[in-house]
Amino acid sequence: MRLNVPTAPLLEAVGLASAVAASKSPKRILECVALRASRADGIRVEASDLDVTIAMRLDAGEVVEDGVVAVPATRLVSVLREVGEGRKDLTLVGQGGRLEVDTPDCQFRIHGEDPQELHPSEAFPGAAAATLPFSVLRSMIDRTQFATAREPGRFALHGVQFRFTSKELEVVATDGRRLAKAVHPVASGPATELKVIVGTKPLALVSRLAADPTAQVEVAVHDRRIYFRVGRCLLSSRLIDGAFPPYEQVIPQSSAKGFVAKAERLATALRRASLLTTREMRSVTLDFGPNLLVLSSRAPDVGEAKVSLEVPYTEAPEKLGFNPDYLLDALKVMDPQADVRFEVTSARSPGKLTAGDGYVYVVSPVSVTE
Amino acid sequence: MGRIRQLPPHVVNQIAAGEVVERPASVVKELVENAVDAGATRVEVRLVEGGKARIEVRDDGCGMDADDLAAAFLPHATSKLADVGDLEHIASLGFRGEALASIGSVARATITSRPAGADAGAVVEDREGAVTCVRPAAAAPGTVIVVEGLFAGVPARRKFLRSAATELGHAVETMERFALAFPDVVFVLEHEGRTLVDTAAGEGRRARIGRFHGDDLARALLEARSAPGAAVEVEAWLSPPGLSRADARLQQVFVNGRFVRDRTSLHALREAYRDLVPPGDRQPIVFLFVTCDPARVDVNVHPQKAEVRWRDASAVHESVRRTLRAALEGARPGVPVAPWERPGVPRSTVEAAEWAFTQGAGLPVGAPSAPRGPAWPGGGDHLPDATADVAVSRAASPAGGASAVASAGPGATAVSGRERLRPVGQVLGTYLVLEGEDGLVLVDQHALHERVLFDQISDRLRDGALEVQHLLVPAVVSLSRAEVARVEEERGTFERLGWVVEPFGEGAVAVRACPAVLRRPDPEGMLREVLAVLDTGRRSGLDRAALLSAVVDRMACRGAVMAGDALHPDEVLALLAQAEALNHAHSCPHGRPTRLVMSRRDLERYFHR
Repeated sequence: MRLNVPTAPLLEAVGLASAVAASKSPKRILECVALRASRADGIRVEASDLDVTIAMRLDAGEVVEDGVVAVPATRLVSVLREVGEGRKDLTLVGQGGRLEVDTPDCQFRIHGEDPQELHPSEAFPGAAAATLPFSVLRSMIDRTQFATAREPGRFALHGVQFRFTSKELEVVATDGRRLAKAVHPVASGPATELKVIVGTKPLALVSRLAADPTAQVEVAVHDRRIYFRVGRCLLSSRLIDGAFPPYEQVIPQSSAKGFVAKAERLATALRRASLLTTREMRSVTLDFGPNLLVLSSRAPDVGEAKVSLEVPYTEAPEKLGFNPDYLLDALKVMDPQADVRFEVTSARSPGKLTAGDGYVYVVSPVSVTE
Repeated sequence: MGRIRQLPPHVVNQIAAGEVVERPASVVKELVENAVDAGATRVEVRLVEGGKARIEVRDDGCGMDADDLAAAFLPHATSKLADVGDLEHIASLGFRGEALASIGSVARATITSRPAGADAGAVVEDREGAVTCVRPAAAAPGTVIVVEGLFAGVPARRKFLRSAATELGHAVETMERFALAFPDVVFVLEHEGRTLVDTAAGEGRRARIGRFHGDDLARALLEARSAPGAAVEVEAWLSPPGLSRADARLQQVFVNGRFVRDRTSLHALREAYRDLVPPGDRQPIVFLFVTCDPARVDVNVHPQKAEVRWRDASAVHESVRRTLRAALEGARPGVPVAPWERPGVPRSTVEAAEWAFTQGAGLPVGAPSAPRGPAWPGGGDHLPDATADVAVSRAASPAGGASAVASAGPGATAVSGRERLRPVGQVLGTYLVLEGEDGLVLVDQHALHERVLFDQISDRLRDGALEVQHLLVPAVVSLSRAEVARVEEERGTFERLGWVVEPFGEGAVAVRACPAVLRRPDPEGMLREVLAVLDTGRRSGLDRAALLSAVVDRMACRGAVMAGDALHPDEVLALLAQAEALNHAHSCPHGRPTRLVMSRRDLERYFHR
């Protein structure tokens, strides 16, 4: 194998591939990034830790001699970063399972693994279940994945659910105490509803697949794997088994008890009101009064805080407590200038934040025993 | 016909002696009791051959005149009771009038006595039942009783006496108990000319404990005292949490100066140490002194007066438990200044150190031993720069475990300072590795978190302000109908503990909310465990407080991070920060230790540096 490639796109692709490769595995091939070169098909950079697989085709570059080589990801990244600095192109030579990277003043021979052991290359499976702008998908992921469960147990909730219908894509995450849901219309979804759960690690990588916000991303599900294709990149991931609880019922119907405020204002008030809470006593009481929201907290040995916020609220007064972190988590991922509607129904039912563009966030309240 | 006869008095006395006099130590006990009852300020005991050959008890008490001496060896003759009403409030150690008669029936006993203020003394002798006339004799004020040839005429009993050394050991133990019970009286024990026990007057109980069990132990003990004026006054010297013994020999209970095996007090003291001492094999050290109106306690239930019966056992139980518990909770478990147990024990031991902790201070600039930690396993993140500041109080109190040793080493003076702990990583998914100022600290993450949760939940319950996180989707738990009924019945209890549970059709309940502090709420497992605890608790008649404590214990255990849970460095810092506020952070609610310290010295020794 012999190829000449421009440094920047190569580094970018290898960097992404190395994020997929296993950091430590008894099967050393899983720690490797593979470079495939063929005059017919161009240059491909691949990696897989079996759960997640990525393949990228480079736009530029010249293949002098076909071949394939697989070398440890961390070694390859550090070598390319060093020699790539200030250099437009690099010449890579694969020979006898080793990758040679030569510049006039440096010669590197990186020992690799047998390419025969590589995970077979994947192809995008047939028709997409959803096609949407990449920037929209990225925002849907960003605004939901933080709500996944972290504690052990309830494995399904460690992932984000993708629900494909003929009209829309719905992305949901919940840890049983709060729930985030983002919906976006799609043109040609599957005829029958399809629900799958995807882990957070592949989703973090999906967000890095493209730099161009106008690019379109195609999503497909096949054989217990989900596929994301953006331009010349293809990422696939094993799905998480299990099912989400019937979450639709817990999203409260629209309630008149609510108000609209800028995300930033609400977040600031909450942050201030939670300054004197502790990890063990972490709740802020929200007192809905006429045109005024009073946020207060009290922690023994620490102190108390009270923050007032003028809001257009005209319904009957209501009072309930929340873990401020849960509300802030959502406000942080919203556009600070976005108008957010905050609704409650009663002291023991969930509060709801909506952002108007198909985003809904539901938080269960915190109460205090008598 | 004629087969039933009334026994002659000396046989009656010998039979009584079987109950009262068992071995030389019991003779010593009876005679010293008499001496104390006589108001002695100094009691000297001299033994020969462990007391088998000769026992001499000399006191400076009120003494007896000739008339008293004449009656002294008569059975059921006593100066301590007048009528049956006196049995209701026995203020003296002896009262039955059996001791001298019994002793006289199985040995040669001589009493020489001179009442205070009398010009001369008198002597009387009992040779295995044959009492001589009272003769005048030269004597110092007070009483001297000499008992020789114990069981010489009763070979069956003599056979059961052990070696002189063993019998002497029992006698020493007996004297020790008197010495602790009556700190104002001087007790001396000599064996064949060698002084074994010699106490000073008015030196206090802690000093006396030190005489018998070592000064280091005595210094380590906490002191507990009930509020003055209580109906049942409790005074105790007790081991801080973390210091324990493998046996219960050092759990000594004295009621109105009498050493007894009192089940009520012993149970109360175990309750006081609940969750502070490892279960089963470890025992706390407690010297407990209960003082009350003699009318409240019946001492006339056991031939050797080794047991008592309380008029109001629950008041005594509560008074003992509360007094000890208050002292334990106020204790700052620390580290001993010097090893107090046998030398040569391994030094890497569980340190009963207090965790005081503040977060956020960076590493000391230029700290020689502060390389950046390796990547945190699992997460791949680097450790935050924040370093845990953990103050380890090295006040003079002993370390946990039987073989606790301070890294300070012998002779070091008490150091009270703050030790900085730097998290290094997590190993085996179970133990946190921290670098302290003087070595390596391993923390059992589950045990520590369990303790943190246990205390937090208990505190919140006490304050009545447990935060409850409602669940978006109720967790439905399938149960048997009986269990559903129990849940219904205990709904109030569950609610108080932060669980909102509702019936959900037949054979299931829905958990709608759980305490917010639990890191891994597991409604199903929790519900089943709590039901089991409530069930067994009911059956064994636990009171409400004990029941709640048991339930909170289970909640803390289920809700804590488990061995095998990967912890983010931030979580480690948070956990350590929470441990700061605790009294007993060195042990989990079951008494298991939470941390292991390997000092620089341990490591150097191991690596032969």
